[in-house]
Amino acid sequence: MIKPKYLINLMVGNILKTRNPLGVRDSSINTWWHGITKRDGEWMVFTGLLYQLTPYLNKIASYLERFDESRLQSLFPVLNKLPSSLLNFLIFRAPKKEKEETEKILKSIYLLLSKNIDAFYKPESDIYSGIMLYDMGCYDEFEAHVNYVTSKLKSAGVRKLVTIDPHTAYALSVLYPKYGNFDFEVRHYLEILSEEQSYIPKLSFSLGNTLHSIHDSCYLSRYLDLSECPRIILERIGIEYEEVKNSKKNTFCCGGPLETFFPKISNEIARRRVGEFEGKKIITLCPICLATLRRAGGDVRDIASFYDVV
Amino acid sequence: MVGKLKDRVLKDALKCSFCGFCEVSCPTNFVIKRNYTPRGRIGTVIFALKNGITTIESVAGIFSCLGCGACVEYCPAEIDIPEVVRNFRYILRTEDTEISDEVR
Repeated sequence: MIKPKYLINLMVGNILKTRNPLGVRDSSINTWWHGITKRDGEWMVFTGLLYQLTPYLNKIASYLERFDESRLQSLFPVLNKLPSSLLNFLIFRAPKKEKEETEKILKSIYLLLSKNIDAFYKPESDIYSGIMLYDMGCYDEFEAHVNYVTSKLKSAGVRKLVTIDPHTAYALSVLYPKYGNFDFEVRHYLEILSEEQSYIPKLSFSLGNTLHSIHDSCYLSRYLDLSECPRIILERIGIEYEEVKNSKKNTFCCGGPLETFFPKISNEIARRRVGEFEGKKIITLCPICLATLRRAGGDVRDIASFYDVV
Repeated sequence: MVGKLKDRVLKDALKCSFCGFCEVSCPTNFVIKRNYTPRGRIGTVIFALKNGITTIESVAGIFSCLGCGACVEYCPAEIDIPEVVRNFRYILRTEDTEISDEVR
């Protein structure tokens, strides 16, 4: 185990200093939107930066595995004192392939949404949701962060938000109204896209006889009850899929939330989950599931990689 | 606030009859340690809140919870086990205990 205090204090310190759990400037990791988004409209796309953060979190998890049960963990507090530029250079250099994949996913989602609803994006108002603070029981810090994000969105004149990943969707639609004066309309993008037949184009190329299965995200299926949305979308795109034993509300976690505290246990959970797919290609709905199951050897792609728009 | 929360967490945890239905659903149940399952985590919380004693090993079980909510679907007492665990993490960070140095 990595001692909880090292990781929690690092995360809390980073969020208080920079509003980003890694302590890096949002603009240095949030670059997908250049040249394709507009700044005004009805629905603001709110990524909560989770897709953008995941390639870095994944890389950090691979470092942390080496420190599991090691006494060298006591050096972690030093990281909090390093300037973010040095951290960026030493640790957070972008894994290029994963970063490109993430940007393509976000572009596909934005372009598809903007074909069907009046979507826009303001990168300076797109901030990490703070869900990890809540998960770790750092309620006071989470409440302060909720108030910060809420005031930024209000001052930007935003009223309606479309979220992209399940964790941010849960934070904004369920937790934010409990912890702050948050009265925005929030919807997950899969919910919107599954509403109308015409919202999703059929795939223009054949996938042959490839067998796919959906790995449901815990937050999307259990906490938000949206497990039918990706199925409706896949059927409209024209992708055949088979259900695995643990699916929808009975889905099995990918192990991702433990990748920092218990990297070895996290990997074992992911390996077991990948085994349940018996060699089928896995479709994920969450960036953390994508990275964790892929690290465990799964043949994984995000559902957005099937949107034929880029 | 912490006092009220402790009362609520203990009340929720005490609904557990330790039937163990939740155990099969938990992704960490392959770790052969009792405190790495939902039932074990509830046991840790009850023992700590009743006796004011906990250990770093039992707290490791608390931090091994994924918060995935699979156990909630199986609990006949309808305990929101991830919420109990999350609230206990808050208590551990805000209260002085013998393991405060490990968690804050």
